[in-house]
Amino acid sequence: MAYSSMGVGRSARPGNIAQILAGILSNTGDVASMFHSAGALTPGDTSNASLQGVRIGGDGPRIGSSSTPQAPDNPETLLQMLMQQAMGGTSRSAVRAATAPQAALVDALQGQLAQTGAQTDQNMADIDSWMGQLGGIYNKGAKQAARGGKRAAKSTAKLGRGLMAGIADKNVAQSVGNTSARQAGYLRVQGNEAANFARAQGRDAGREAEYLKLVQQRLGMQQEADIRTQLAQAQAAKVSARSSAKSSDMGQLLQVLGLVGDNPALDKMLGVPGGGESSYGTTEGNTLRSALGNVPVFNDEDAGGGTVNDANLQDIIARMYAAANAAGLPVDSPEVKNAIRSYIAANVLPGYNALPNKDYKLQNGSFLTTN
Amino acid sequence: MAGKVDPNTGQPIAVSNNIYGNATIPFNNSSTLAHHAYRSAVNALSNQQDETLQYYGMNKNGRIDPNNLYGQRQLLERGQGEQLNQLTNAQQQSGLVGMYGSKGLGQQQRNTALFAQGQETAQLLKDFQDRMNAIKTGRQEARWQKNATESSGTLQAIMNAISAGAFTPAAPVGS
Repeated sequence: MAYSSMGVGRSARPGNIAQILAGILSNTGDVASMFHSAGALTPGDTSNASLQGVRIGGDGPRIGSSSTPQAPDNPETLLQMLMQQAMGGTSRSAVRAATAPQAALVDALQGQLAQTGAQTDQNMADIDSWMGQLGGIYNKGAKQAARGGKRAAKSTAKLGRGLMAGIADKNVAQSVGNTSARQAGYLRVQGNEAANFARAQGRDAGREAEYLKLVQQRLGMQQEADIRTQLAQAQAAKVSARSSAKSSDMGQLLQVLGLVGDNPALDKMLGVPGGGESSYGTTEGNTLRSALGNVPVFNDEDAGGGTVNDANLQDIIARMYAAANAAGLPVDSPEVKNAIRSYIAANVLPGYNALPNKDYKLQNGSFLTTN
Repeated sequence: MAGKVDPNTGQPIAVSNNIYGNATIPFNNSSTLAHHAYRSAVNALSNQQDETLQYYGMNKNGRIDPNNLYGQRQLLERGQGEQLNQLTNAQQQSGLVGMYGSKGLGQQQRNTALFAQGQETAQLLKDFQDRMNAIKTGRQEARWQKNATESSGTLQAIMNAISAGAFTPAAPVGS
């Protein structure tokens, strides 16, 4: 479901539950009359207009809309509890404290990731420098070999000329000259061969440097991949810790709201019947489960992109009680009431807890949608 | 250490990589060993050359050393001179015409003697040239070996450093 279809966009949504509740107070005024005196949660009645008025993102008045503020006359202690729970339970500092170890690990791993990349670059630069200097040694050897060959050839030729100068027999002189020329040629060729070989070694050093750099690059990539894996795990742990902290707070909030556990004050405020005594057996349990299982918690509109205004906590509660009442169950009995609550806790809340962005879903009243 | 040395610091001047500056090649004593081996070989070859020149009675330019009375070249020349004198005396005693047997049988005998002496001289000088050539080849080989030892030792040092991961520590990111 696209955010734009929910009535409240990202930029417009309030920051936390406290703002939502403040918005409810400022826009709807009398919460007690909204929930109780107007009979919004009366079993079997799910179409009360006043209830629509608090559906955030629904067709009724929304947060921020202009309506005359009214001072609430409901029990302030309950609202204060809600406000405190909302403000304290989802405070940034509490979440930060809960996720501090994971956040520190994420920061450390991100730093390690960047440092690994820098070290890989440095390793490759070192190899470049080292192999470059090695190439310099080879090239120096090549120059020395070539120069040495020429010098030796020149020296041999000079020796030959000196010998020839002291020989009267031209045949002998010719023999000496030939030998000298042959040896000088050999020395020159030998020097050139050595120089060429050394130059080839220099080129090999360049190629080997590229290979060694490639190896370092791959090792660096492998290290970075390992760190990224650890980083992903740490980030997942951080998200999990954050979710756990949020869930814990939300669990308390839901308990205050009366969705789990027992809260007679809220029951009274919401118009939920309670306090009666009646028997509740296996037959009634089966009837209740059957009735609740047929409650359309998730309307088609919630899954299809229509107007989102039905997946609302209070609305769901009302439907559950209406269904139980329609099935002929004594909805004012504690057993039935607790069974309904247990059903919601077991079948509805897990869906909520699995949602990645609970704040957003909650304030839009659509966190129980199937998509 | 390989490469040029900074005269001020005595440290080797590495090739610039234009990224993080120069990186000194990991220490190795291949250059010292190569230099020592080269100097030892050159010294031995120089000694061998001096002995050869002394033995043959020659200098490095192929000239006969006038101060060496007992060199192989001197002894050979001396022997060949005496041989020609004996041949001349024998020819005169036998009534062959000419002081040096310049014609006829005398000349024939003299040419034969000179040919044999030329062969001896050529052989002696050939031996001398071969020895000198071997010394020069030895010098080339020593120079080559010096570079080979230095380069292989340096390469080994580099590979050891890479294997050990002994690279220059990278500057802290963001510093």
